[in-house]
Amino acid sequence: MMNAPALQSLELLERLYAYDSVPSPALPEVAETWVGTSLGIAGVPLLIGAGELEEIIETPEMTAIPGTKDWVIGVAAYKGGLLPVFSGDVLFRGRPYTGRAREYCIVIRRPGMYFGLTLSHVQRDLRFAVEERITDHQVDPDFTEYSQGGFLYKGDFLAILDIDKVVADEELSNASAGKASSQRRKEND
Amino acid sequence: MIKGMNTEFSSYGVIAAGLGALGVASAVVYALVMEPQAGVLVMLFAAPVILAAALLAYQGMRRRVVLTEQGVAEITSALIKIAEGDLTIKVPEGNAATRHIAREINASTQPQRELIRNIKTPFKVSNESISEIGALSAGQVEKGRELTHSVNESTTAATEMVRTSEEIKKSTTEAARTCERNRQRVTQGYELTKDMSKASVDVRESVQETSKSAKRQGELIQSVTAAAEYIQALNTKISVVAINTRIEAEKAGEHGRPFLGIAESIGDLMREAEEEGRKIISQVRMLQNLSADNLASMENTVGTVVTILEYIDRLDASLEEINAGSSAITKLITSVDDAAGQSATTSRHMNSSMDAIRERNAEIGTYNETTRQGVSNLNRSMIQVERSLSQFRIEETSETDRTLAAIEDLKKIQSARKVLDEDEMKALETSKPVQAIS
Repeated sequence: MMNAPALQSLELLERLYAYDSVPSPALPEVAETWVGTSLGIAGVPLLIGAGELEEIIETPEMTAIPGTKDWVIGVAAYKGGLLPVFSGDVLFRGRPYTGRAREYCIVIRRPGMYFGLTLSHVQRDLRFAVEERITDHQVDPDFTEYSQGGFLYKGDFLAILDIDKVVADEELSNASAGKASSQRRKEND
Repeated sequence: MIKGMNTEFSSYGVIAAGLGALGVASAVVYALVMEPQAGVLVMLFAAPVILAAALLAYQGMRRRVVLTEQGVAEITSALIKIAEGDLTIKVPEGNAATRHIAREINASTQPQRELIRNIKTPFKVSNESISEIGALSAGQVEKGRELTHSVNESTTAATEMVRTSEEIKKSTTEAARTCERNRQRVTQGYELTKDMSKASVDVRESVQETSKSAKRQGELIQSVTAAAEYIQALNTKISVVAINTRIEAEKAGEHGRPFLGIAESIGDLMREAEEEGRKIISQVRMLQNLSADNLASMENTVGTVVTILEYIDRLDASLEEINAGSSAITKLITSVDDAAGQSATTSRHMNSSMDAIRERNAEIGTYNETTRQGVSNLNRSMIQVERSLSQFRIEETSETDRTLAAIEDLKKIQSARKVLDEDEMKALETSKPVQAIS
């Protein structure tokens, strides 16, 4: 008979505890996001992931460098040093560009590489859910080689430009307009 | 001929018998006077002779009587037929007793036949002429009826013409009224075109003022667009600053986290500002386009107003022409009205003339009817006369006689065709006038 009230008391205590207890707070699910900057090169809307850009600057005054390839616009004095600036239009399209002056350019710094690349337009930083990434969407043919999928934003497809692939391109590694480089360029074409 | 010879012979026999009997009687008388025996003897011989002679004389007498009776019977039969109208009959002339009478009778019927023939031929011609007159008279009556019918139709047509003329007159009166109303409306239209011209000039001036205002508006919109683009450029610059802030914050690591939040906040604000700025630019551009459209529309309106003014001028000229045309039409209508009145009067005169013609024609019809009846009666009389004349039978001229007569004529013609030499011809020519005169 003693066991029953004790057990009942314990059950009662359990019920009271369950009634009075405060539930532990649920941890919010942190969605994994992809952050990047929306901009445009040669009129193609692109995304460049966070950490890949050194900065975005207004296109500085440049000095043309003779004997370089068409996509080398010139060299500019920037933050106490020299910054070569390349034309994004000529580099990716492979043909001369005559149009509105490009007002902004991105600064890319990689080991052994430090240059600016002109932009056709600048949007802002954008944040996307990683699972929204599309890898099989059609990309502009001139950028297909350097893209890694992309995201849909307001109905437009924004291809992700992989700067490492751009930097790894041999064409970019040699800015001289000599015969060897020209031959290599032809072979690449 | 044989009959004639017998008749001659009987006459000569009677004469011979008479002479023989006379001779015998003379011999008997001589014998009785001179020698009685001889006389007896002679008497014995002479008595049969005398008797024979007497018998012969009696027989001749008897034959003569018979012949006479026959001739009388033939003459009587012929006379009966002649009395019946048969003039073709001829009394035989072979009978010696009645030959002379028969000749006389035949000679007397010949002129009668000629007379009847001479009457019959013109009578036939007259009968045919009267028949033709009768047919003409009937045709005349028919024509008279047709004329009456035509006159009646003409009268009806004239009456209809009078009615039509009166209707034309009414219509022309109404047309004149309508024309006058039209003229008044044209005058009103003329005034309206003046007002329209004035209003169009006002509209043109107003639109020109509005056009100036729209140009000013376009300049302002251009200025606003430039400002909006400048704001958009500023937004881009701010956006670049935000991006660079984020990059620097990421580089700073944990210490840069507040700047990262600031950069994201600026980015969010920039997104809204950029969207609004894009809307503003879009709407301003739309406004600019609308302003340009309005400007073009106003220029078109000015052009249209100018065109309207030209049209008004033309309309004005047309109205003046219409006015002049209406006046001319009014004159024409008046003249048509007069002509219709004259036509009605003429139609009435014609109607009364037609009535007179109808009356005269009715009288002529009556006369024609009377003539036709008279001709019909005459025709009947002629038919009766013809019937009466047809009772007189005369021999028709045979075909052979006509052929012989024609041959005789031809012979006469052939004999006339004599070949004359020159002298004979001259003599003939000189003698012709004399013959003609004679």
